[in-house]
Amino acid sequence: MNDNEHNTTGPEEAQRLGRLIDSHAAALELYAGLWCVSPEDVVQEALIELASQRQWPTNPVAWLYRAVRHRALNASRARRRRQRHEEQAGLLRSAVLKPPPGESLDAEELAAALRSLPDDQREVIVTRLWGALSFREIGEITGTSESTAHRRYQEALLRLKEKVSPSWANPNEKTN
Amino acid sequence: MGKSERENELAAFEARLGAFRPGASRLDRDRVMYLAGQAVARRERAGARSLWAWPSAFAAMPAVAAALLVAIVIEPDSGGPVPLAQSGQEDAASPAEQDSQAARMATDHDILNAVVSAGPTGSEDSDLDTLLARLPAGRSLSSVTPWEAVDPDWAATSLVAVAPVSYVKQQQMLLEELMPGENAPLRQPQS
Repeated sequence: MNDNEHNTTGPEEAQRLGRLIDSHAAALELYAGLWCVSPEDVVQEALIELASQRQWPTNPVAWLYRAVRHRALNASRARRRRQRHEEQAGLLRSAVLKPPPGESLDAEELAAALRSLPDDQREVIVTRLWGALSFREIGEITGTSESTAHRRYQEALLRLKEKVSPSWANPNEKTN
Repeated sequence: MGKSERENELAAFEARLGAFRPGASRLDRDRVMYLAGQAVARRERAGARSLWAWPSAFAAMPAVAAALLVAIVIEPDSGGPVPLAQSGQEDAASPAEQDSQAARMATDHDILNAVVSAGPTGSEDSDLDTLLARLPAGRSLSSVTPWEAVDPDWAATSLVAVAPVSYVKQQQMLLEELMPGENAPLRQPQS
């Protein structure tokens, strides 16, 4: 059974929620971390809100990203009113990305490059690369068209490639 | 560098980026599952309540409307020449109250007969003069009680203050005052 099936109750619902947490919670926290400093709280609230739905959405993963985005933006606005520099310091800490074994670039450099991107490009990179959402789903979440989401993604990749060190950005140099 | 080569480079860069994984979730899985269970239970309770409440409300509203309609249709028939409230009062009167009312009506009838048989009683001024003549010395009409005006000797007793004069006694006293010599003994109400 995949996560897109809906209208289940009881233990089956609990199992589905458990699978969603296991497979998507980390990426959702990364996504929420684009805006707020306590992403785990936002993700927890979104998961509980999903569980309390009488009928689950057709695409619970996309629904979760939308709910997390909404809550994280609200939390960000509320916090920004209080203390702006703390907000910025909490965004995309290096610990939220884990490099694969043998990777030469550390996560800190990648996180710094991500922070330098505009908000909309950073969002599309996170949702596409680590949320594994389609461009159509990204467009629905961000309120843009599929083609706009795709274009932003391409632009963001190019910018990131320019930001990180040349040896890392060029895979041929790494293999050499 | 050709377009396809650039695209290949970008795809390779994307693949390397994608190889990074989000760090371990800091979410407390057990807590989330527990809270989610609570939320589901709340939802079920609310669902059960709404399941019961809406049909009840749906059934109650036509019943209330039907009751009001019946009340509106029946009310004109029950009115008739005798108002409902009046007939209800008559029905609700106890035997003792009915006896008292009958006695009062009989007494009124006797007084009326006595007055009619006595004929004209003279001017009102003469009655007033009689009352004024009976006033205690040094007292004006406005400063005395009605009983002092009617019968100063009787009013002087403490009995007046202690026991109120009955309705029949009042009528008898007035009759004696207004029609001296014609005060035939009144029929007392049967107990």
